[in-house]
Amino acid sequence: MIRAGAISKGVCLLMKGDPYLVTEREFVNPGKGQAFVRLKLKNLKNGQTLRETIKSHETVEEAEVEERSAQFLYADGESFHFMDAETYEQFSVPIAGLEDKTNYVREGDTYELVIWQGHAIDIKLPLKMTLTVQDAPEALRGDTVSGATKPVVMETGLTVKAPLFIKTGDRLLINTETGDYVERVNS
Amino acid sequence: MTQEMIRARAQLLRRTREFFFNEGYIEVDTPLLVPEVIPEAHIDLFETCYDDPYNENLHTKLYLIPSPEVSLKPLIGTMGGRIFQLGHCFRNRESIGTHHNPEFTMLEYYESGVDEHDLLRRTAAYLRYLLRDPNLGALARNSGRLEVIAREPLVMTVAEAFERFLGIELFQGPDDEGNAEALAERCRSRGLSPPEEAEWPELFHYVMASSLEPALPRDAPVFLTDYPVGCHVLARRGGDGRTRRRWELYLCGIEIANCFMEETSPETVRRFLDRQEDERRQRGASGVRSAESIVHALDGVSSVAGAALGFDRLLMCLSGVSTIEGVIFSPLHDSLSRR
Repeated sequence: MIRAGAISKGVCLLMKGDPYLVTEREFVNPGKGQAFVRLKLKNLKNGQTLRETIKSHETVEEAEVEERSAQFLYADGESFHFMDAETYEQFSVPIAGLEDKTNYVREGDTYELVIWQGHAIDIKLPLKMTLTVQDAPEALRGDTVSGATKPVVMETGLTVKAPLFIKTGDRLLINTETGDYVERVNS
Repeated sequence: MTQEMIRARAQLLRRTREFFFNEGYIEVDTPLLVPEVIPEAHIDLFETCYDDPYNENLHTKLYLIPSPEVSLKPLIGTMGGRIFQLGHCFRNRESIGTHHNPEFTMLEYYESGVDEHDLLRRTAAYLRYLLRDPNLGALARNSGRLEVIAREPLVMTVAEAFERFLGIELFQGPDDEGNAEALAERCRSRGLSPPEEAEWPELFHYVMASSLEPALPRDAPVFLTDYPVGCHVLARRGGDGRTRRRWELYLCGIEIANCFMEETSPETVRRFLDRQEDERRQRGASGVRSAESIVHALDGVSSVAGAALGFDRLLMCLSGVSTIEGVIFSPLHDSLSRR
């Protein structure tokens, strides 16, 4: 069992007999009232989305899952495809509900997969990841107000709002939960 | 936090102070470390201790403030006029998330001789003032939030919002407030699954969190007014007897500010404190030393309105940054994960 307040993105829950993957989680602590957790869940049997709001101190049953390292091969319209580099066993993770993760998988990189009853259901991403800028437009002259940003495209296709000094080829630390720019990585 | 955000934060601090100075407010910086607090059922505190160096038996329990109201209410009660504090606050046992860090920055402002509607207009003027700053305006334009924040605010009562966005009558009939089962039934008939056997305040907060907040418009500031009397806070009762004179501001879907037409009656404040302490005991929270000074703080004062605004969240809205850790120095989450 897990307290609702301890649930994080990527946790698997058993609710009303069905297994669910938590795809979004937000705490609501109004101060003047009861604290809640707002969840967006993906039903692992049929892929359907469910939204639930649960009191933070309530308990929910956790689904038993295991983790396994695998190398990312490619994604097609429906699934991410991975391979265990030692056993050559292949896994596919359905993209539905995990669309944002297409922005953080790189061919040849190794990731932890979440396995539920033999099915790969999720990709665990590090909270922050270094990605290379593929395309950064030149900043407009005179656009120097503090806090100004420009959209830059990363090697995975992710578009990030980055400071004006960022150039193509720079390596940036990105928050994988939010898609926000964190900092330029000096190397 | 990026260097750009550090600059934006500095500019927001500066323009905030400037706005309140221009409006005749006095800035106060009351203690962050206090021996007594206003107990609140759902807020947990950081506790520490003062140890006397020459008397090893003398240890004084102290709290980091969850809000400066414990000092500001007696101050406004004594000196009147307009005061504000812009500083850090601390709340324990709140899950760290996109909108929460245990240490955060709060702007709290009190004004005597006005009501909550006056403070609503002042708050809307504050937002417009910030956008006139070239740097903050550019920040909001860049994030696509300029038009949203600049738009004329939507002002509606909580009951109107329930009706308009959820199709649920908050009150049905003249004596309906407090009837949890009837409200739960109306919620179920609209497809909601409220918690079983919830009491009225819990049910109300459930509907707010699960359904109303996600349904509120995000293309303009939204002020929800006239909260149900069943939510026990230090705001005066409205003339209809079923609501309290309180508003909350939602910006870009995030709760930003909370305002009360402050309760001044010592008897009512006393009952509030007792009730909060009871509720804390019921949920097994530790006892706190209650600030008795608050009971008579506004006794005899004809009218005071006070508001508290989440400064970090406001910066999130202006900049479009989606987590609080993007707008504050060394968020606790980062510090804990480095250990």
